Amino acid sequence: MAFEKYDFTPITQSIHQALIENVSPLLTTIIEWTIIGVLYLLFIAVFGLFLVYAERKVCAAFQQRLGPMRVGPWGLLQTIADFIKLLMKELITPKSVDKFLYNLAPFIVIIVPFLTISVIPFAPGLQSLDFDIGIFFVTAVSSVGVIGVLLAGWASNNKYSLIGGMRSGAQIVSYELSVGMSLITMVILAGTMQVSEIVELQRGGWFLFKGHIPALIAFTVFVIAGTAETNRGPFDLAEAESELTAGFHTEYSGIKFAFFFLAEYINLFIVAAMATIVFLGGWMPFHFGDWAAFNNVMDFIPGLVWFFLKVFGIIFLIMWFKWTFPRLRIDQILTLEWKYLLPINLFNILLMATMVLLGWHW
Amino acid sequence: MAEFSEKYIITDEIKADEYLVNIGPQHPSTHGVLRLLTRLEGEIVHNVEPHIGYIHSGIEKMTEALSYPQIVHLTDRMDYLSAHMNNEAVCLCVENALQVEVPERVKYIRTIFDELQRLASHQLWWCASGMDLGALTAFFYGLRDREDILDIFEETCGARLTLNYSVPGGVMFDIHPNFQKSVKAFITKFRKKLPEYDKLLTDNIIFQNRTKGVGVLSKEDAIAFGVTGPTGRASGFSCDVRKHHPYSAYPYIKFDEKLGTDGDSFMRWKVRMDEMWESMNIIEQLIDNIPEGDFAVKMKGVIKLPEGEFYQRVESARGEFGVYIVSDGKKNPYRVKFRSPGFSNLFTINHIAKGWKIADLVAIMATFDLVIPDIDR
Amino acid sequence: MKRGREIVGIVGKRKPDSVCKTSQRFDRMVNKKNKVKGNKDIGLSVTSRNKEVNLAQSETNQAMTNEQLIEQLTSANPDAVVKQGSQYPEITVAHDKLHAFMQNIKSDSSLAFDYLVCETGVDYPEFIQVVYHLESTSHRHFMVVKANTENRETATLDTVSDIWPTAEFHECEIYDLLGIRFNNHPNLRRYFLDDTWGHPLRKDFHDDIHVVER
Repeated sequence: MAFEKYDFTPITQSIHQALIENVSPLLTTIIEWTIIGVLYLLFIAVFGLFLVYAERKVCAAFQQRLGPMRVGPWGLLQTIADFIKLLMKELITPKSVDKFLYNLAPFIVIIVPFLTISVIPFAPGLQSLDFDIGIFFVTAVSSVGVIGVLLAGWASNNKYSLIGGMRSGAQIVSYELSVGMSLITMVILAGTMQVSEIVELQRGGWFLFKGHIPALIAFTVFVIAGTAETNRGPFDLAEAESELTAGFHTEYSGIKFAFFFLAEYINLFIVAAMATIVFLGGWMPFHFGDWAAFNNVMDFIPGLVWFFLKVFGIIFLIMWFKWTFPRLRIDQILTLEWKYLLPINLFNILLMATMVLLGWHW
Repeated sequence: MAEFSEKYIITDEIKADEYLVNIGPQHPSTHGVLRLLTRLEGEIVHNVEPHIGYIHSGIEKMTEALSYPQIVHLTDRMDYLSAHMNNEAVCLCVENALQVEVPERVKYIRTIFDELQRLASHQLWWCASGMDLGALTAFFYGLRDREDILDIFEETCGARLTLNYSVPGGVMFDIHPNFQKSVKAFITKFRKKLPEYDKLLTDNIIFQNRTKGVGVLSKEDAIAFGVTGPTGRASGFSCDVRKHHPYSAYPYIKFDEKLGTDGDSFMRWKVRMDEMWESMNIIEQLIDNIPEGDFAVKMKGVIKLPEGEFYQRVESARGEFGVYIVSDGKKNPYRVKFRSPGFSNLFTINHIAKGWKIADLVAIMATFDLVIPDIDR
Repeated sequence: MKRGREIVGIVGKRKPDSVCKTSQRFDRMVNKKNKVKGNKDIGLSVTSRNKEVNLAQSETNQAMTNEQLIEQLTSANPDAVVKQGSQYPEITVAHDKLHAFMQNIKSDSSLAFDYLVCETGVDYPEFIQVVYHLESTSHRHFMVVKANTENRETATLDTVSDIWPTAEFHECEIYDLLGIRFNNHPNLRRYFLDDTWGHPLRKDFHDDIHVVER
């Protein structure tokens, strides 16, 4: 097929070959790890900054203003300037905090996106970890982040932070369920948990279309629960600035605050990427039935571009939520999860299982 | 000082599982330096004790050393969002005391300014309380439309916030030649914009869940606590001074007093939204009929009030604003008291926020529309 | 997720055009909801009351003129002093009879002064006066009641916060600025100033830094 020419496997293979011929296997592994680590680090830093910029521009568009315009063309360098500012800021540690936990919390929070991002296939051949339990790994690892948030809230020794941390804990633990269950619904359809295989299975059509009704329900639930899990949009209770000033990261300054900030945006990317992979076919181009000409044109666009187009579509949707809806109250958030999303999800799993059993999907 | 503040912090025993949180003096949703000492159990509010006075400026004391035209300028520093109503209250009080009849033109101009000011204030309230509830976009919508009113103010009287337009005996200058045109243009525009406000928040299911049934203030309590303005009217307390004690051009026009029944946050919201429609209605009745004539009567250089006591009530954007002047016949008053609506409204919070969540406390405060300098004076 | 009653409409004359669009739309919403429930009457009470009705009502309610009001008050309290020729009906009550008097005018159904508009303290050379502006929400009477403290040094007065809860806060303010101690007040504290200050609205208050001299 046409898009196979954008496969990254030859490049990675040739690097591996070159290394293994020249140095020992151990050194090869170490060097490869280092390259991957540096690439991910760069990606997270640059992409995080870009997402912050995107959010400010999207938000500005919704609020009928221009957003950052001064630093660089169209304010493109604004977030870089902000980042430099955050780097140079003094790291304030309040007197009565639990110093060890206080310093540990931002690292736990920032580690989670690093772990999760490893299973995401950006393009054919561009994926560092390809488990056969990839989906399970994502759901398992992404719940670790809540520990960091809870620690930050507790160790800050600030009542606002504590309320924020507790809210966040209750919220993330609840919404993990919905995220996991909507993914399971799709796993039933796919029959595998391996991320690359899930993408490959969507060559003939995205799961959103293949699984029609239950897939659509699962997609809706996933986007809602994903928004809640990233503490964003109408679910930003943990840092509700009009109630808790800044919630769990009130006492953090400088780069530690930047870690929370960055983690939030990378988590946003991960939620969008997971939605893309599971529902929208990952890096697969959009095909429409028998329209050969149309499909060929679509194939011409590289898989990497497709992946990021879809991701940005979902990120835009989630940003749209945030800048439109007022914030929910903590009991309403939990009601939404336990009384609405969870029963819908359970029913949906049943529906999907029946459908797969009877072969009603495309 | 430490000893002093400790003394006033804890008014009753803190039970197990309860803890104190200071909401304020610096807090995003108090909209000023107000401190709410809140006793919480988890997220549930058990007691709220407002502590005020952080920007107490002693205006009542200062007035004792000032002449009456000077006092007018101090009043718009109190409730800066209803500056013109406050100015007008002092002017009306002085005019009543001196038995001065102001020209019809002045009455019309003052009433139009009152309603424009009310619109501007309600717009700011709308966007700020939207922000309190987490809808940040509302903030920009509200400020965008408020700008038009401020431009009209600037055109006529040079100031945008603290107008100082009313003086004893009339207004300071005649209206700008463009005034009628720009007000009409604004009304036409805002009639299209106001439904947007409803679309963005009032009809939103999350917003309704956040406000409906939250912080109910019964009519009896509203009267007993002296809660006036849209806040009181949402509880069904018919307290519109414009209706019951008409002043300026209010006797000439037809308008409705918007009364709610539930007294919850949503009703307070609704009453203010409806008042915006009503304000536009009032302005439209007046704007084409401003009579010709002088914009002020000639007053004496030094205004001396006759000996006695004078009380004047006006309806500011927040409720009943009262000026009580005790005069001993000199050029400056013996004692001036400003009855500020915010002061009475604020202290109801403990009564109605008990048992609700901390997020509801913010929602209640948002719909109370507090202006801190108005409370502290 | 729903607490409390359903929202009820707005009282007031309906405008046919877009003036009351907000409330119309809202009523539609309420109606729709009630239709679903199959019960149109749940909590929906829209009363129409325009200016004329309002005026007529207040006329019928205002059974007494100001003179009758004063007469009724003085017949019940013969030692109360009535001031002639003032803006509003004005009556001065002895400080020891204040609480009973206030209790009476609140509970008497023909007077029913249920709304304490304003409470002011005024410092005079011999005494400190507290001025109560009272309104009746049912009869729309307006009246001024005054009470003087015995002296300026140990200025005390009975609280009326058990009659009108709003007085609790006004009295704190008066205590802060004029130094009147209110007996039986539930929580008399200074609102604006700390203990290092005197009582600035007293005429003999002098501050070298913030000089406000009349």
